Amino acid sequence: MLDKNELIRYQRQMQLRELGLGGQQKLKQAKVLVVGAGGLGCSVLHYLVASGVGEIGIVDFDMVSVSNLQRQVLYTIEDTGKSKVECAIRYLSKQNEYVELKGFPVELTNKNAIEIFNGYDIIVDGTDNFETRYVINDACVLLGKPLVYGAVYRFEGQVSVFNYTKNMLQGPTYRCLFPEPPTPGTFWGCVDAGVLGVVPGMIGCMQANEVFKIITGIGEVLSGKLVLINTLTMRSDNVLIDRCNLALTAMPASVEEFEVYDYKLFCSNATQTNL
Amino acid sequence: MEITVLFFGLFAEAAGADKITLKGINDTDMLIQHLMDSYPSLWDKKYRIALNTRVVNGKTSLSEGDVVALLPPFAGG
Repeated sequence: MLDKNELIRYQRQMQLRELGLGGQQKLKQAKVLVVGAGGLGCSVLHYLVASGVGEIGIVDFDMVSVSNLQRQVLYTIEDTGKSKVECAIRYLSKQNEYVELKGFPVELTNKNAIEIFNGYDIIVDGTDNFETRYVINDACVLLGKPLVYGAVYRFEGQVSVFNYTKNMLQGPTYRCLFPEPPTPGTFWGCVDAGVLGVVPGMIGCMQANEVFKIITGIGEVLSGKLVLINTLTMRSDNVLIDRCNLALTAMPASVEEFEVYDYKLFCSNATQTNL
Repeated sequence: MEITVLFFGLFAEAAGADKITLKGINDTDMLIQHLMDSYPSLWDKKYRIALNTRVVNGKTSLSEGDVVALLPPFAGG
């Protein structure tokens, strides 16, 4: 199913005996959805596309702005004012014509998440707000799909794989780590806090790396563990996370409940209670 | 009894360090009280606590040499 040109294109990674032709074929058969085509998304997408993941979906409702260009490396000055999804697809389809790219230029919500996620095996979270992160987590839990999580704050980043099942054992979810979002006004995203471009670049590469391991089955997937990196000191810490049934009972129990759940209220009413 | 506390994100900024050591702290509730008194800007912040690299729930007693990490959620992408 891989043609002659693809065999040449992917030769350097196929010669890794852990990957081989079988691993490359798995990549080609895989369908990965990247939510958010910002700093994290651009980095993840670049490597997923280059490595030959068969089908990639991109969700983002936003337009490219000049202040994105310092870290969102798929875009150029000519793209400003245009749809990120459209610009990302234009760039990425030139990077690798063997990848099927599909754009969803919409805001991901609990009303459309199930329909969009249904077409993909793995979901990558590259969003920039808590509301969407909980929507993504809950949809992944309800659909039984692995979620590759990444988030950044100034010079720091976090990576983990949530809702990953191995040997019938379900790993923890985003809610098991953070059962409730912070109270509005008590946290900063990239817009308020600032961010150095390499930070989402590095974290996005680590997310792409987890996607590769999930697809090909090589190595050890970062499930049940949170990696924290500080790029200023290069200190990195690993923290073990357990699946927390109490946190999971707080989420919608079915797709029907999910689609009527008020995520805006959930995020705006968050209390200061800590576990 | 001495413990080490690791800070990330806003917590590291408030403390002006990514790591401190503290004496005379017997459990995680006492630690949080101490940190909120020392760094009042943290009182409304969300975090999880990891003890010796494992996330823990609720009041947990601490022993000599324990390493406690305060993990805030990050939003940025």
